[in-house]
Parts: sequence; structure tokens; C-alpha cells
Amino acid sequence: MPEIAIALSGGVDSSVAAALLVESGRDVFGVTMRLGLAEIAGRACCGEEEVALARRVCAQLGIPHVVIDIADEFRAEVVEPFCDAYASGLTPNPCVRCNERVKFGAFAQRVRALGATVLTTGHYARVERDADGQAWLARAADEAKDQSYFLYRVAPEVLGELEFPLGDLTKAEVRAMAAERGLPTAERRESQEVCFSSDHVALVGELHPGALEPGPIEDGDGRVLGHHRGIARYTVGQRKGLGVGGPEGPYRVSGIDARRNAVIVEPASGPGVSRVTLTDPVWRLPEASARVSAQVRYQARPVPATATVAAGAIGIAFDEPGEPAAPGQSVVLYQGDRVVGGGIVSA
Amino acid sequence: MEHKAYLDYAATTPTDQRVVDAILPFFTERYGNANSLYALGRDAARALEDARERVAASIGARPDEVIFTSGGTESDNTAIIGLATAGGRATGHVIVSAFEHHAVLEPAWWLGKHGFDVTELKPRTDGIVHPEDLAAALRDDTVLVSVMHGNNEIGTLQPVRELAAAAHARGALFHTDAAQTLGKADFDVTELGIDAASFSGHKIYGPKGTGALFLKKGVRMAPYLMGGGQESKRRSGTQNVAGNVGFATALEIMDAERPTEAPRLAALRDHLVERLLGEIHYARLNAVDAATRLPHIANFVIPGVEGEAMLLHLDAAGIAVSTGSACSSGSLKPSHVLLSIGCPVEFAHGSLRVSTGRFTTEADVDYLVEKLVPIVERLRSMNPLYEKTVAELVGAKG
Repeated sequence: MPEIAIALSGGVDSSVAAALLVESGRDVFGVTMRLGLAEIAGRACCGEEEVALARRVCAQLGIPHVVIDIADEFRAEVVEPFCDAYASGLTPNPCVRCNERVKFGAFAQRVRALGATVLTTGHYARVERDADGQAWLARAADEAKDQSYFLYRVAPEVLGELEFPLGDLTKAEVRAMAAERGLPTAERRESQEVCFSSDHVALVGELHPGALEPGPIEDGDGRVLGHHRGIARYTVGQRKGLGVGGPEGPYRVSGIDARRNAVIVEPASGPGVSRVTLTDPVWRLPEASARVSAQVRYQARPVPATATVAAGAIGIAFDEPGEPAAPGQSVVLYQGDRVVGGGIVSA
Repeated sequence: MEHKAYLDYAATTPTDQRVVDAILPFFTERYGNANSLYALGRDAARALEDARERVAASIGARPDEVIFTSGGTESDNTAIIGLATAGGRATGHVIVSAFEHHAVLEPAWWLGKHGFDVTELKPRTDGIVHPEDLAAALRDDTVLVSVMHGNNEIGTLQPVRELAAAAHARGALFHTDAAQTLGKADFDVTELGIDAASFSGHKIYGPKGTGALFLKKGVRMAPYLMGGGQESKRRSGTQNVAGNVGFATALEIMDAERPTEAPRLAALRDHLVERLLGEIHYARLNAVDAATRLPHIANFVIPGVEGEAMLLHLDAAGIAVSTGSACSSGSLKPSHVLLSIGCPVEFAHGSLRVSTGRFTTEADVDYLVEKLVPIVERLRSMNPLYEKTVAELVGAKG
């Protein structure tokens, strides 16, 4: 009975994961999301090419392949909120949301309906079980490729049904395995996790033309230092491309006021940020306050902090002040390799 | 694996050995171009024209009304676009049934984006497009109507003669996609009174990539493939002599065997329907009320189960079936055919099409049911929404 589903994206990682599962003798079938990206980003069928590659991989491995059309859910749960967030001055992370709501939400549910008891993917992450049998998300062995940051919102009950066959491998090993097996995806360029936001400005502009309207760049006292080209192009912490300078410069973006269509800047040499509040909290610890290692961006170096959960929010106090985190981005909290919580930086 | 059962003859068929034998000489010995002047070319031309006469005889047409094509899709595309735009026409009204194959729907939608007005006519819940519904949809500016002869997913046979008459009464041309019915049900273009019809070779134990378009003499059609002017300028491209010989041979075998084969398949289908409905709770036959149906297709809805899940598990047991059309398989989208006949979306997800053919035995059908019963039971037990689905189903029945 085919009960192990492998989610294939058309990339090298998931292809190798599928090959490893087949070689281990398990009864595997492939599943691929059809996201309807061509219609969304106005690009020439970027999604279809990957669906076709996934199909070729399955044909080579001799396993069945099912394409699941999830375009409606993807648009409603990821693309539209992504555009709305940019238009209101936030810097959203669509991958975090997609993993929570679509890939390990609606898609996982459809995969379960196909009779799968285990869903596997080519993510670089691990699932650990504690003494009570609880499933925990943990960092991959390959720290440089670790994707646990993007997966922190996946529900614990879904985590329990997941396997990440690449969790203990390095990217170099995976590439070598793909080449050895002659997989059609072996030579694929590295795809970033983000699948549609390379042209996010145009996309946001389609839904919210106002987010591309020029407006003032101001300092904290409301003095106009220059003009911006639409708030959708800016993110808190950004230094490059501001086009403003002065005796106090260089500047960095410290805030975006969508209501007034203004970008607020501060001297980049100014004091760092030592506290941040997270909304939409994920908190898996029994205690309300804990010492954690906080990661404020994908591939940012995790920094020591104290996290305290209260009333639907997490307060983070960093040991050392750092760069401002952009509202809308996620901060993920670790203890050792294990993900213990996280949330979304509030505006 | 103790047993294998191929039960997807509506997707494609194995090429009959008699067909293979007939076409092989055309690859290495009689390989001439049918348009060449010399003896080798004349030999190919003779074989080609002989094949054309055999196809024409089968469908009650004149040989010059048969255009060889690469199959059902090309025939459909050519007919829909070529008939609508004949003589440089750029506007007008086109009617297609809502449960056509996408080889008809897509070109119709293309016309809709290029100046034409397109109506998708719904069949009724019995899976039949009723002539009075067509009469109501026809307009003074309707130029073309296309309704398939037999539906490829649910197997219902359409009243093509009456539909064609209704179209003609308002001055519109009538095309029918007969890819799924040729050789399996009576098909005579004169008796049906149609202007154009599409056929496919690989559905009747002929080679893939073969087929034909019937075009009534005197009907104007813009060509779709242009070039060397073959097929009386209606379909350019060097003719596939081997394929066309295979197609004609396959059709003759279908015609010769139909008197015994059609009742045999109908009995197999009835046996399958009885067993499957008897052994799987809440299962039902789609378009159960159809007055006329093809003998080889049965389409079921099995509530509380995803169709593709059944496919995956049956595949593991060596059984090949489908949820609907092979062309859209693997997309987990509910069938547009089932939706068009009023099947609720959540049930349309649990569709299973079983189609039998020349090499199907009762043991194959029994094997399918034996394997399917525990698979459905298991998948339902894994489905957290099953109880709710059943409650709705029972509620819907009143």
C-alpha cells in the first residue's frame, strides 16, 4: 500500500529525498502542488515547468505522481495577504505563511486524503521526538542550509506526520547523490525558498497601486529628507537605495507609515533595538518565560535573548541591542537545535 | 503480483496484433510518400486511398469526405476553429456542450477570445444533452454546434441525429466528437445528418497518433495545418500511411466484432455495476438515468474517498483505472463532466471510471471489486470527514 508521500517541487532536494525513500524499499508516491504562479506573477509558467520536472523524476524512480491543484488556497492564504501586508507597510514572509497554511495545511490535508500516513519533503530540517513522544522541529545537520526558520509555524500534530529525509545530510552530499543517480534535476540552479516574490513590487502594485505611489522620506522629527518610490519597495532596516544623506548619514529605514505614505529613516549609527514584540505567537514550552536563542531573519545569526509569553504576544529582550527587525518578519526561537517558539514582529 | 487488470480502455487500448501486422510493411518496404509520382509513391497512395475507402464505408461517408489527421484532438481543433472561421468569418455564435472533451472546449474558448460568442450548453442530470435545450440556446447568428456522440467519462450516448436536426433548423453546422464511440456504437454520418465528426485510432486498438475528420461534401472549412496541400488542401503534411492503414484495419475489426462484442461488454458492465453498488456503501453510478449509453464505460462516485487515492492503491494491486479523463488525471480537480451533470463537488472528488475492452474478462472485473472494497473501507476510516459526508449524503437523499 503506498502510504508515504514525497512532496516534489521540481528541485534537486526533493528529488534526492524521493530517491532515498524509494531506495530504502518504502512504498512511496510523489505529490506536487500546482500553485498557478503563471497567473499570479505574470511570468511564463514557472510553476508548470517544475510540475513537469517532478513528473520526470517520478517516472525515473518508477513511482506514481499526483499533482494537487492548490492555486485557490495559495492565492487566498499567501499571495493576497502578502500583497496586503506590503501595502500596509509590513515586510511579510510568504514562505513561513505558505508552509503553515498551504504546504503543511491544505496540501497536507489533501495528501492525507490520498491515503498517505506520512508526508515527506526535501526540507533541510529534522523532526525529533521527546520522551513523551511529542514531535519537535529541529535544525538540520547542514547549518548553512537549515530551513527550520521557515517551518516554525507548522502545527505540532502535523509535525508528527512529517519526515525530512535530508535532515542529516549536507547540500554538497545531496548534490552528489543527485548527480550519481542521474536525476533530471541534478543540474538545477539553487532555487530560493521564495517562489514568487522576485518581482514582488509589480505584484503588490497590481493589487494595491497606492503602494507604488511616491511619497516623502522623513526623519524622526518629520523633516522631509527625500522622496521614496512607493512603500512596497522598502523594508525596516534597509540602508541601500534610499537616496538620502546628510551630516548624520548614512540612514536606515526605521519605520513605514502606510497611512501617510511616508518612509521614516534614522541614522544607521543610532542605537540598536533591544526589545521586540511578536504577535501570532507559537510557544511550545511549559514555562511562560525562557532563555532562548532568537533568529530574526532567515540565515541571521541567532542571538541570546529572554522570551516571555503573555496575552497573545511574545516579548523578546535581546541581551545585546541589534539591528531593527522589520514588522511582518518572523523571529524564531530556539533552545539548542530545537524550535521552541516564534512569532511575527509587530508594527 | 497475482493478477493484473487493465480497465482503462477509454484512455487508450493496446494495438491489436492484426493491426500491427497490417502496418509493419509500411515502415520498411512500402515506405513511399503517397504524393510521389513514381511506383513506390503510387503504391503508398493506393494503400492510403484504400484505407480512406474503408473508413468511409464504415461511417457511411464518401471517401473524399474523410480527412486523415493525427487523432481526436487535431480533428476537434480543426473542426471547431476551421468551421467557425471558414470564409474569413470573424464573429458569430458557437454552441458546445459543457461536458465536451477539452480538445473541443479549448478551441471554443479560443474562439470566445477572438470575436465569437460561445455558449456552453449543459447536459441534464441524466448525462444527456436534450434537443429541446439546444433549440432554446440556438440563435439566428449561431454558426456551429458541437456535441459529442458519446461522453468519454460517463459513457452516455447523445441523441446526435435530433441535435443535428435542431442545429440545421436554425442554419447552424453540426459537429460531433465521436472519438469514444467509433466502432463501439452504430455510427453513420448520413443517418445522423451531421456536417463533421472526429475520430481517434488509439481508442479502437489502432496506433496512437492516428484518426480522421469527417467533413461533409460542400461544407467550407478553413484548414488548420497549411503547407503542401495534402488531403485536398484541408490538412497539409505527408500522410501517415502506416498509421492510416492501421486505423482503417482497426475500424474494420471493430465493425466485424461489434455484434458479439458490444453485448459482451454491456453484460460485463452490468455485472460490475451490480457488484460494486452491492458491495460498497453509498456508491452510485453516475448518469444512472441515461436512456442510452456506451457498453464499455461505467463511472462511479464513491463518497468519502478521494478518487486518486483509490487509483494509487489499485495501482499497487496491479489494476489500472482512472478517475475520469486521462488528460486531466493527476490534477485532483473534480471532473468538469461530473460537475456539468449536477454532481456535487465533494462527491465528484470520489469518482472512478472503469472502462472495459477486447481483452477484459469477468475475472478482471471481479478482481477489481475484490481489491476495491477493502481499499475504500480503509480510506474511509482514515478520512476524518467521512461521517459528515455520509450524513450529508443521506440528508440529500431525503
